[in-house]
Amino acid sequence: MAGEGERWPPVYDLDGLVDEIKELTGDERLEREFFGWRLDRSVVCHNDICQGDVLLLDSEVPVILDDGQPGTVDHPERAWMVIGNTCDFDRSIEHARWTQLVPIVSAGNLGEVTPTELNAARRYTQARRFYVPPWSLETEAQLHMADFLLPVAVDKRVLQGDRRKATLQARMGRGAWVLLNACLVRLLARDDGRYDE
Amino acid sequence: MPSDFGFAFVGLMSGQVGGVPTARARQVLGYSEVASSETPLPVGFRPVSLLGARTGTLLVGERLVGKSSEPERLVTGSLRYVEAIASALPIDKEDERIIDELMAKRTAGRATRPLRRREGEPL
Repeated sequence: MAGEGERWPPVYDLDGLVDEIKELTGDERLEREFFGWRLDRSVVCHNDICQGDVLLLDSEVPVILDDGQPGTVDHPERAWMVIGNTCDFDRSIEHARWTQLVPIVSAGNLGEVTPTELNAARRYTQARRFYVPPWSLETEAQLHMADFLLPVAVDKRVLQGDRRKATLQARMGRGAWVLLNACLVRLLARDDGRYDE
Repeated sequence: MPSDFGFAFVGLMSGQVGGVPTARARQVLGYSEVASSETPLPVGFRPVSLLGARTGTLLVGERLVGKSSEPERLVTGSLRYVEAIASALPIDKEDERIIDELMAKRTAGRATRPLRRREGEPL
């Protein structure tokens, strides 16, 4: 059991972590138990923020456009995933003002997505996006992907505290979080194929 | 599998340094340890968790040829971590192509808008 102040029980050594990841990606329970907490299934609200949290935030995606000027991309889902480290939220604004989000984008209604596309998303075998199972009744009919290619820096005060603008929708269970963390490492550390045979 | 055994140093009659198996505490990294520290590294990424469980062979080797520097150990540990993640989460290029095409198709119509222009530049 997690002790006081801990989010989850301790993570053991590297070998244990690798075994856990392999088990998760081959386990049908992962999707059912992806979220340990959902707003639509609970009367208890969380005011803190953790890596992997799904948020609703009424913002488009800020980007730099092809002319080098700042702009935005439409984001009608208004759904975001926190990819900044949880420990960043324990630090003061003076020491760590920013954290990072990625938009969660609908890849279409499940009725329009082919089984091949759905399987490709669910296997976690592609590095640039992260499959996110439905986190509310409203999202159950769609395939959602967190887009790692559109990371956004956000002032932490948007996400927590008296001035927050975001609403926490769902929090990952430990297994999903371990998988997310590994997928983030894989994205940042992937090779560019220059040494391919 | 993780081992709960390490090696203790012993002096051999030949004057060399050897190691004998001995029980040791398992290396455990608590999430709270990371959360309460100033490090931005994720769980499992701290050098202590990667390099603490060194083998007896490596420990004896360090005695003979000298210890590696902290940056060297950090790089070695980080590479080992990334290699392990890569082996546990292999990338399938065909799946990447399928998802890239799907996302491109679904998001192609999304509008982009400039936030501002520098003074004097046309909109």
